[in-house]
Amino acid sequence: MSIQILNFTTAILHVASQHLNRWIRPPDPTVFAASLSPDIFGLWGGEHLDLDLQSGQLSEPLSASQNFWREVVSTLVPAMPEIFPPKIRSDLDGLARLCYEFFCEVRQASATYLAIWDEGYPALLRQIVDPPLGLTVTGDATLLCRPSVAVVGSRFAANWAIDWASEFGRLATAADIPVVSGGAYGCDAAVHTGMLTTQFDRVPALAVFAGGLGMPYPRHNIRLFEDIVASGGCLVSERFIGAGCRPHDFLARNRIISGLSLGTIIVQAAERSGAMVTARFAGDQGREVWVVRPPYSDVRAAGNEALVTDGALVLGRPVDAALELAAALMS
Amino acid sequence: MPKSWWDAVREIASLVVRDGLHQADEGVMRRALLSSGFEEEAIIKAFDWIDHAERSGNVLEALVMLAPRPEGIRVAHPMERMFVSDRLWNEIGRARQREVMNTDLAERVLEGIRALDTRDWEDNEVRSFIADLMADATVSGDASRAEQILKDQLPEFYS
Repeated sequence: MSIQILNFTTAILHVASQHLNRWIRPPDPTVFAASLSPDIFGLWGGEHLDLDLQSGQLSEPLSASQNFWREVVSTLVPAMPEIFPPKIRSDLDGLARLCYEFFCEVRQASATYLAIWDEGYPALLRQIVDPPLGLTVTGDATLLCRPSVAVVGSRFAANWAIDWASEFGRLATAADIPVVSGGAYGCDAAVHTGMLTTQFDRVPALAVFAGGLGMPYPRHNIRLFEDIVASGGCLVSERFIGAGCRPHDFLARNRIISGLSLGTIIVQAAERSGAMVTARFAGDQGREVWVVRPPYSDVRAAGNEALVTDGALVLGRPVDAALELAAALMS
Repeated sequence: MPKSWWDAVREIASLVVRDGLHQADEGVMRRALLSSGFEEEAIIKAFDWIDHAERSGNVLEALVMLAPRPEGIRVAHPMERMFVSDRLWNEIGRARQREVMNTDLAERVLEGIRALDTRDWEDNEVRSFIADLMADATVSGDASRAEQILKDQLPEFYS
């Protein structure tokens, strides 16, 4: 039962963190279980909340009423002051309403919700310093738990970078290597488009949004996102369903891209760019960083040279990269 | 300290963008660089680099990225006015007037949209696009400050 209470607690924390626009550290499960008072168990035993929570999954809240959330929030939040910051505790009714509205939107979007301690939440992402407290996912959420590689690069990509990303996408699909990217113009869209041009039934493509799942960005890639889901891939977000993109959301999103993967491939990056930020996140998270060698000296790939200088592994042709990565993922 | 070959590349970029010199006017450019104090070796290396960059695609685009940005009135290229949505153009103009965007950042935003037809973009896409580019421009870590500036100066845009 403590895992059930933990999942509801982290779901409430996730909603609160998105509302307050600040990351909140999730409770450690062991410490959490030890700190639960008998009163909470008593209140949670079904008599007070009148709920069947045997499964421990968060499917029930998707159809739960606002009264349900009011009861859960008013039960858990005051009982755990060390977990919930004062700002959260000051407006329990507002927090309950936010939780109810959030899960209504998740249901309406036919999305899956994964709290951080759910068994379906990717273990690799849980290991980073500041993991998302929860994820909303449309499509095949099981892809999140498979070993994958991230591919990112400049929005203003050179032809050689587009070609490299597209070809790598096709080869990755053939090798059944899940590929995570941001869905942006340029290199990100190229790798997923390349994956979708294959004739395979299932394309293991994962796109992580900076905004909510209901606000796909860029809009011009909406068809790409629909095709990803229809072909067996998935779309992922940390944000509320209807949340738009703010400047720091793109950087926060990049930590998820690198955190989901065993390593990140930088196809083309300017010296100061979002792709370089993703590379830095990958390094800080202890993941591999690979960089594509530009065929010519290209001012738009100055970041590639800087990464090589910093020790990133250099990738040559897409086919060689795909073979190398397939072997690495299998091991 | 002698001027480097990279400074020579940037000077060539200025000659192309500011003075409208063409790549074929190499002789004119060489004389201009010599008179600016560049050494022959640096000039040779600079033109070698440009030859390499030309093979990467659009050398003009690369040189425009290197050129120093002039302050003062900016005259829009006719193609920009055709393909940039009024919504986006107005928001960039307002951001510059309120000093949320400086000239350099505005040029980076416009560079980004030169390859895109934004005429049918909706408000949320315009908003997200500017946020995306400002995130790139502030990767030094001040992205939250960029957001705060936007909220303060353009509240109707960043609600």
